Amino acid sequence: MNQPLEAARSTLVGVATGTPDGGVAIVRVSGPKAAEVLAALGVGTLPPPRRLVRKALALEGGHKEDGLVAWMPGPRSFTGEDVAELHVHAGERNVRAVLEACLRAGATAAGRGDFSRRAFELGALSLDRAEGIAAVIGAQTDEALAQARRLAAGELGRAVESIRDAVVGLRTEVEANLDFPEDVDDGHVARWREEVSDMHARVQRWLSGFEAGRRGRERARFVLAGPPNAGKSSLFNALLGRRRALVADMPGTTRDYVEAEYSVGPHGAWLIDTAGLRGDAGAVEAAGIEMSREQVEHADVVLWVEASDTPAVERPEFSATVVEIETKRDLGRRRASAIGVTLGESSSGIEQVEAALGRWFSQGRDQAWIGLARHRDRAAEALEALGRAEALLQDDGALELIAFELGVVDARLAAITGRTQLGPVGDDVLDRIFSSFCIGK
Amino acid sequence: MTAPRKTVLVVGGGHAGLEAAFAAARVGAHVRVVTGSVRTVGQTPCNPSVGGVAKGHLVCEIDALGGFMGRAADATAIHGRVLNRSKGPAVQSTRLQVDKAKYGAYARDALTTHPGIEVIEGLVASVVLEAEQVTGVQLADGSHVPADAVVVTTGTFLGGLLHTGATKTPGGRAGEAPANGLSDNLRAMGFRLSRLKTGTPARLDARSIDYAVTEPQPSEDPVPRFTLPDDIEPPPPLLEQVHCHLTWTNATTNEIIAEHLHESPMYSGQIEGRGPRYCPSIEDKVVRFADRDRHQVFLEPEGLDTHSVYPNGISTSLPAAVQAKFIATIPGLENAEIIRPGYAVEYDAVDARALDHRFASKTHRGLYFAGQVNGTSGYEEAGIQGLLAGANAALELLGREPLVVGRDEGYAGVLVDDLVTQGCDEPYRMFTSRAEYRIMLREDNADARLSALALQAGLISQARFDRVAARRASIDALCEAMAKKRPPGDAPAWLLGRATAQHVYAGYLDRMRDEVARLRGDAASDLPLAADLDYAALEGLSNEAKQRLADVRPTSTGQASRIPGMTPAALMCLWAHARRMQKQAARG
Repeated sequence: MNQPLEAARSTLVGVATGTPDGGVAIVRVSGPKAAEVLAALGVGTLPPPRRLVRKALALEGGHKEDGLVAWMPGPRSFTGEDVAELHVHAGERNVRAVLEACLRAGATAAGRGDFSRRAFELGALSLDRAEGIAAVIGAQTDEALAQARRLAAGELGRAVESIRDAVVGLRTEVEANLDFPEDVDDGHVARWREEVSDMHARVQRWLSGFEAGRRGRERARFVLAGPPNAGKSSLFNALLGRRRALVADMPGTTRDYVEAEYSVGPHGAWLIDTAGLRGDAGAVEAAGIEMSREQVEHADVVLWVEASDTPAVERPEFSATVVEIETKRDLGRRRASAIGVTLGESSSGIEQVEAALGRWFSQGRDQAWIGLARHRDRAAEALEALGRAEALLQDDGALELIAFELGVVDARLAAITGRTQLGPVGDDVLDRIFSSFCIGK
Repeated sequence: MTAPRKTVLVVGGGHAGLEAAFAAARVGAHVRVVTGSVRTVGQTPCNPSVGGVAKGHLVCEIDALGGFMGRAADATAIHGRVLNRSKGPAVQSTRLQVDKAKYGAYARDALTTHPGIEVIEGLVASVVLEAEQVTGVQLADGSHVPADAVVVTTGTFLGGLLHTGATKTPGGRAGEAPANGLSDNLRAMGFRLSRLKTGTPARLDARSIDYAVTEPQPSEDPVPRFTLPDDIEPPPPLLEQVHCHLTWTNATTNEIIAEHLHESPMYSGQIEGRGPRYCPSIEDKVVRFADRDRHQVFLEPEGLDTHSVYPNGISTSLPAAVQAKFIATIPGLENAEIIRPGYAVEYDAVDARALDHRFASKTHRGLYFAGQVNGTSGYEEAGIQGLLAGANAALELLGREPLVVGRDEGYAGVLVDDLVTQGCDEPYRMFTSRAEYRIMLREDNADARLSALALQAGLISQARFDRVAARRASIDALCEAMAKKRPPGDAPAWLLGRATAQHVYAGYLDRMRDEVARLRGDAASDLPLAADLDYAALEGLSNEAKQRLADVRPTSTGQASRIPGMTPAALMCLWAHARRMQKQAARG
């Protein structure tokens, strides 16, 4: 994303297609010199806007590339500036020759996400939608792709703007009260309080749906933990359906952690096997145990494994969801609430473990929020300010302080869609004041 | 032998002109004021009130900068209130109603007796230049008045045109000729002029008003004042206080106005200028807020020795007969005699984007503009501009540092920056909501905010500065006692009030600074931009951005970021350029 500032508003060139091994590759040129680049490639007259036209492109050494050219003059283009797309034969060497011809004509090589960044900077795309496009490209699971599409389509932005609209509406009333005390009726504090708590509830709902959304789009981390020799590695292998971790009967066999790709239905995850957590271990093993503590800390679900032939140990507190499992059920049953598992010739209980992990994915899915971590941070800050505004309204606090908090809410919400706000009150608020209140005695 | 003193010439003797003249003289320049008539110096042609929300803040800042308006208003006030009493101290504002005649007399007396100020009666026809440097002005009678700097404070007189119904009279105020030659002269010099409009209501005879059916509004006790009790120059004595009265228009009033709307020059197309939305004529109110069945009318006496009453709220340019007809429908005004009908005035304003933060022209050396001519409305807005322009004209001539107030230091800073960055397409009035540092900029701390700047510019004496410092120390001590929940001792109420205000916002100041810094970006990245930067040749800017930048010619990337409609892409391009220039300069 970070192209050097000096290069801002240069003309960018980059390969717009995802895989280079198809039949056709698309090279995209965007910027004020897009037409010049086409001219340097021998495209004499510009094709009519937004039509594919067959053109012979002049490359180095007198070679001609038989391609299709689309000309999309700004502002009606993806980036908002003049864009040319060159559909050329794929293949690494050919595509590189076309790129080099563009670079020689004065274009600059685009980095990852540079076209979207252009689109955002020129106001052709809001920030949340640009992030959605990046997420569509980066999506690794079906659920992640579905969420990214909604983000790219502007669903989050519209929800944010709808609350922002309510915030600006309220701010309009508060500001009018402050600046025109003789023209505007005194505050309707009771209604304002209701409106602010409604906004507070809406943002709160987003935030409580964040985890469910994140679970849906990110590979979850399921970590096996428990005392040594409880059968963690055997369970790991059983869940994966193949031998991956070293299994032996001696405590402390797993000295490092082992991770493997794993899936539960449509959901992707990492399954991680760790060294047994215990107090008295050798130096190498201790290092392994330290690493497994780290794994446990970043886990989404801890599969806490103990064997039925050993007394219960005191389980550490985990911030993640815990699924308790008792192995070696064929040897006894000590922990009634745990899922019983028997491994070996006639294994049982694996389906129940898989079902528990599936339930973890589906919990709260109906409230899943598509916001990304950055959106969550801004929304959390907006929520804090809404809380302070609510408290001020509750205690008959000073109106100018309520206005200040509402300004913070507005700025944070605006940051989600990337609409920057300069100064205290934009013209939008003043315009609203003058159109809704009869000012001027 | 000392070198001959440099001369600042002020065109106009209104609120901007007075402050400009006094400030320039205090800084140390010789001052000439050219005014149409000494008789009309310091007029309050609209309602005779000084202060109000955000405007009161400006008056306190004028006072803190050693200016005239606060003291003059205190000396001639006949009614006073603090607005926004129910809200926090940051948005509470003093408003005084003054005796119109006494205010004018006070101003006239101050101007004609002030050492170092020479008053010349005449109408300025043109600014005289030598190679883009001001050398004086030419009067309508052909005579030349030399000067090293000229401050233009012509108010509504540039191309002034008065409208009452279909009647059009050239004039800057009722009964006074406009300055048309100067308008053409400025246009020829390359200044963009725009057409603005404002208006005033009819004046009524108090003896014909039935006050019994109106609601009295007494002055507050004690009467609020702009000057401080402990100032080294004691506050002027208080005049006798009078009541204002409140009444309302009604459905019949509205009907009459609606019926005659086509006769209003505002609606017949006769007036082209844009009027302020916050100070609409009664015609505007009836049209735009048709659902309101009544509008308030404040009856404000214009003085102790006059029967003239200003009916605040029914500014109009309808024909005189229609004015009489609708006024008679208002309770208490059934038999009201009209002393003079209301009128609208259209005038030329200079696009203030041609000026820098000192109100100096970016193209003509030694030329300054201040007041309503810059597109503002209000005595207070005019006064602060005059003060800053006059002081800066003198400071420049004496080769000293300019006086520039930051947006975080005062409403003065907000006003200057807004005007020279955004220009205005309607008359600009100060609002508290324009100040992003609102809770830091209170009436009660104007002295603390601005005294150091005032001392540095030579606008206040060392003794006055020391008094401010002592006052500050006692406020800090009281505030600390409050923070520790100790009894504050027996400090006077006004001092306790100031300490409370400081205490109330203590927890918010850091957050407010953080918020503003977050909006603005890193202050360290605010880079200077050359005044002669060729935006047309700057690569990577859209044509629209080039046009906006060329219109304003911002002096820094920070100012550029406040130009309406600037995109992040344009700002980044500009910032990259500024950084390249800075690196080149560093390399020598």
